[in-house]
Amino acid sequence: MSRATVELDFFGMSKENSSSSSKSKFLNRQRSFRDIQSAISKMNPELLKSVIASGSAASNKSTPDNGNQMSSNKSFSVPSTPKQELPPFPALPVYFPLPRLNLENPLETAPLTIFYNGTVAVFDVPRDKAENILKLAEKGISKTVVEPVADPRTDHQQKLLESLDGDLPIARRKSLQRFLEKRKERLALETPYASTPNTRFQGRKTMKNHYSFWAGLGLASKDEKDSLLN
Amino acid sequence: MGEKFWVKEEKGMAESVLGVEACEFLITSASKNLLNDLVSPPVNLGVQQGLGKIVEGSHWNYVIFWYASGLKSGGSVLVWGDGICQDPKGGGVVHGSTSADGELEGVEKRKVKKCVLRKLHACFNGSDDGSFAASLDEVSDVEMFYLTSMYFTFRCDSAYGPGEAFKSGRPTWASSMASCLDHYHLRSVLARSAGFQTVVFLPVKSGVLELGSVKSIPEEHDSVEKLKRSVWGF
Repeated sequence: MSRATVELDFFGMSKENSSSSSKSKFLNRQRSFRDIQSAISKMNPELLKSVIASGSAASNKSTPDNGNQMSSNKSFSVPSTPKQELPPFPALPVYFPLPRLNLENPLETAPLTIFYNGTVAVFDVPRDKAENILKLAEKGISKTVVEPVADPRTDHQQKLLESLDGDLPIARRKSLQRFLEKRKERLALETPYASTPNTRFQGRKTMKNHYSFWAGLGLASKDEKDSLLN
Repeated sequence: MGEKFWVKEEKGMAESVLGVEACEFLITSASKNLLNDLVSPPVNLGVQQGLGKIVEGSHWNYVIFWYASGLKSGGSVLVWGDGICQDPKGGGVVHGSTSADGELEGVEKRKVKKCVLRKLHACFNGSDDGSFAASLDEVSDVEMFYLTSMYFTFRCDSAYGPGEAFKSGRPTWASSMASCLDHYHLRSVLARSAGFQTVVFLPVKSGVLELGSVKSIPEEHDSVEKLKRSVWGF
C-alpha cells in the first residue's frame, strides 16, 4: 500500500495568485475543502493521530488576516506565506484554535484545519472531539520530549530491515547493478570509437592498453581507473 | 499486490522466452518469497574479484556463484550469490542483437525480453521499478539467460544442475550442446536460445560455481583445479 502524502495546492501557491480577488480565493477554497475532505476520508486515521501527536501546539503563529473573512465557515485564517518561505521547522503542524467558536448545539460540527509539513487537512468535528484532538496534541508534545529519540527511528529501521530481507535481496541487486554499470561502460567506450577497426569489447585487457579511453571518459586519477577496472 | 499476478499476455510472453516449465517455476517461486526463509542470506560474499579472474580473458560467457543456505523450514537450497556476464554480443554494442543462429532479431523479440525482465523484477521485488527496465533495450540471449538466472533457486537434493553438484560434491562438465541442455533443466529453453555449448557446475566452499560458454570447451585434466585456484587460491 503506498503511503503517498496528500499535497493539495490549497491556495494555488504553485501559480501566481496575486491577481486573483479575495472572492475567487474564497471560491477556490470551498472547492478545495471538498477535495480535501474527500482525500481526508481516505486517509488512515492512525496516520492522522501520529501526525497530530508529533506536532506542537506551541508554534501557534498569530497571523494577520489576509482579507478572507469567512465567519460563516469558522475556519482559520491562513498565513499567505509565499512559496519560498517555508516554516523553519518542517515537522510541526501549525495549530489555530478556534477563537470564537460558538456552537449552540454540542453535536454541531465545524471544520478543523490542520497544517502539517506543507499539507492541509480539514475535518468536520464537533466541539468535544476538537478538544480531544487538542489534548492529544498536547500529550503528544510531552510524549516526544520524554521518550528517547531512537524510538521512531528503530521502528523505521525495523521496517527497512524487514524490507531488505524480503523485498530487496541484496545479492541479486548488487549483481544487477554491476551488470548495468558494465553495460554503460561498454556503451560509453564504444561510441567515441565507432570508426576505429577494433570496436568490439574484447575484455578488460584491451581496455588497459588504451589510456586515451580514460581521457575520453574524463577520468583524472589512477584510482578512478582502477576502480573501474575492478 | 498486482505485481505478483500474471495476466495471460504476460504469461504468454514469458513462456515464449523462458519456456513453460521455467515460467511456472518462477511464478510459483515469486509467491513463495523463499529468501525470507533462509537461515543465512547471502550478504558480503566477497567473491566478485575471484569471479572476475575466472572470466577475464577467457571464453566463459558467464560465471555464477550459487550460494548454499539452510532453510528455516528445513532442507537447504542454492540461491543467487553473485555473478559476472561477459558477452561480446551483448549490451547493445552491436546495432541490433543477434540471436544464436546469427539472424538479426526483430524489434518484437527485443521488446518481449525487456517486458519479461521487467515483470520478473517487479514480481520478485514487489514493486515496479521503471528505471530498471529503461536500460535494458537490447538484451542478448546470453544476457537474458544470465539476468533470468538470478531468480532461480535449486534444492540441494535435486538431480540436476547446481543442486546435484552440491549434493554429490563432484563437478559436472558438459561440453556439447545436447548434454548441456540436460543439465540446464528448467533453464534449457533460455540456454538453447543463448547457444551454450559448455556448462560446468563446480562445488566449492559454501556453494556451487556455474560457468557457461557458447564455445565448446573440453575438460582437461587440470581444468577444475585451475578454476578453483582462480577463485579461492587453492
